[in-house]
Amino acid sequence: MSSLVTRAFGLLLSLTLLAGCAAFPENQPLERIDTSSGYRYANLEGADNSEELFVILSFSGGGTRAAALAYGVLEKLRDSWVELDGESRNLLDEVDVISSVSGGSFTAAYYGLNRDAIFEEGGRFQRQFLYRDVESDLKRRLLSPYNWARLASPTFGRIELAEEVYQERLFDQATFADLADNGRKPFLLINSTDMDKGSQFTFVQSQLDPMCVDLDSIPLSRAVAASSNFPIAFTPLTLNSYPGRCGYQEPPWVANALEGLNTNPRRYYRARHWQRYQEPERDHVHLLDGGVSDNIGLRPALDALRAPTLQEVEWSVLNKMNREIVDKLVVIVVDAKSDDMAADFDTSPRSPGPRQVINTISTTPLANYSFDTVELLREALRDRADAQRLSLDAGTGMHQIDLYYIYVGFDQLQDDAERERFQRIPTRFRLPSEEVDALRHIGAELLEQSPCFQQLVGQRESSDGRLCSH
Amino acid sequence: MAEYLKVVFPERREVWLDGEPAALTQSVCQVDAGWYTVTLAPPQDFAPECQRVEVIDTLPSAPLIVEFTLKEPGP
Repeated sequence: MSSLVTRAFGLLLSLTLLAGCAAFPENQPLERIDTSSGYRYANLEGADNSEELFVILSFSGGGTRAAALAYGVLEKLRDSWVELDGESRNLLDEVDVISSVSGGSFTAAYYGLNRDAIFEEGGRFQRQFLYRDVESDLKRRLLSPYNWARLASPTFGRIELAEEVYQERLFDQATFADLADNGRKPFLLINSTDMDKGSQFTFVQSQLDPMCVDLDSIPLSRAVAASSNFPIAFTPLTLNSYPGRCGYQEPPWVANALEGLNTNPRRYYRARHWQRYQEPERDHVHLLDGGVSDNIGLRPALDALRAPTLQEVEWSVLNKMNREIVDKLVVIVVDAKSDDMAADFDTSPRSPGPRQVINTISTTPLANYSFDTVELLREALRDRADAQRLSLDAGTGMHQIDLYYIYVGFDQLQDDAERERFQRIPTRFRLPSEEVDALRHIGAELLEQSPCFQQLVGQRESSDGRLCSH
Repeated sequence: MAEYLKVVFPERREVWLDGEPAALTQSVCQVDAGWYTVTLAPPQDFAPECQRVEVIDTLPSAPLIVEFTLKEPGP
């Protein structure tokens, strides 16, 4: 009996010690700001990728549904060619930036790290993620008694278990240093949400400069986990912050922006949020799914189109347009939004139940915001095209750019049954193989059928204006 | 809100906004509304050294004009 008690006590003690030891992996401080190193747009080589043609992809959230749709778009781009300076160039190689959230971040990050290896039939990405029941992997981790003890620690959460799965299955020990060493575009913008202000948090060195954090020390698996950190299902992901320890100097745009609350509140609040990262008592930053602040991954592209001086000016598209570096801008939005058509409560006089109400309040604001984000992008491009025309007429000398807006989403499908089929695919990390196949296929097909894509690759005559939006 | 700025200088040169290369002289550039510190890329042969301007209520056909002049060479 006493030996049983001793053994139980020993086990309890071991578990307590284990819980005490379990903690999220600490990211390393940055000793000094050095803009010539780290994962920054300006530090990537552009030898094979002309900026004259600037291509931005955005991959939305939506679990495996989003990852597979984005994958299909990448496959189509790999097989497409564009004429540039009399030379035929591969369109995928011309992609400059991929901005992603949640499910879309798996495809973006794996492609950014492994390039064409992502396309291997039966290769690691397909086998270990796209066609895999990742949810079961996550559940198995959660049900292990060893992990229960670790989860008892206040600094180790379910998101750390998820990160371990992504690391094991897809990314190994790769960090942002590997992306920086790779030195090639596309520049990845893996987006999550800063819980503090609900603002977008992007895993690029310039975002981490005011926190004095070395992005090179952060595993890609951790960024992807943060980006797909669905609230409640996972715990918020924590980063260490070391403000004031690396000689960070606030960029001049911040002081100017802070004087424009009434003129330009968006710029003002961007500056305010920026300053929060420098506050000395802010030792940690807690991150949620990128979809909470922008489920379509398009906000960074929108900012880059509207602001000539961002936190990282090198990838501001507007800056490049103003400096007459870009002649042709292509924005491809890959939106895997679903539509829950099961909401049939209006057929009954009964009040909808709590489940339906929770579903509505948790999904509708995000969907509306995503819709508005897409519309804002279209407006920004339309405004630019109008401005170019007005300037041309007035002879004020604005650089004339060809603008392409290409939207890949299920609502583009003409056939009602087909559209509903895709819109009903749930947001899961586990889909039947035939659905993954269909999503890959439809991603490529929707891109191919876009009139603006056809115009871009020379399969269709150019329209009269500078903007092609379809 | 998109606003428009044109920096005038006798030569074609890079324009710096808030300490970063951001446009070219003689061309209309598009900016976000608000305050900017405008200067030119080296050499420092222009005057004034920099100008702080608020870009607001402009049009592509009627941008805010910011002018720099070539400094007289010293004796």
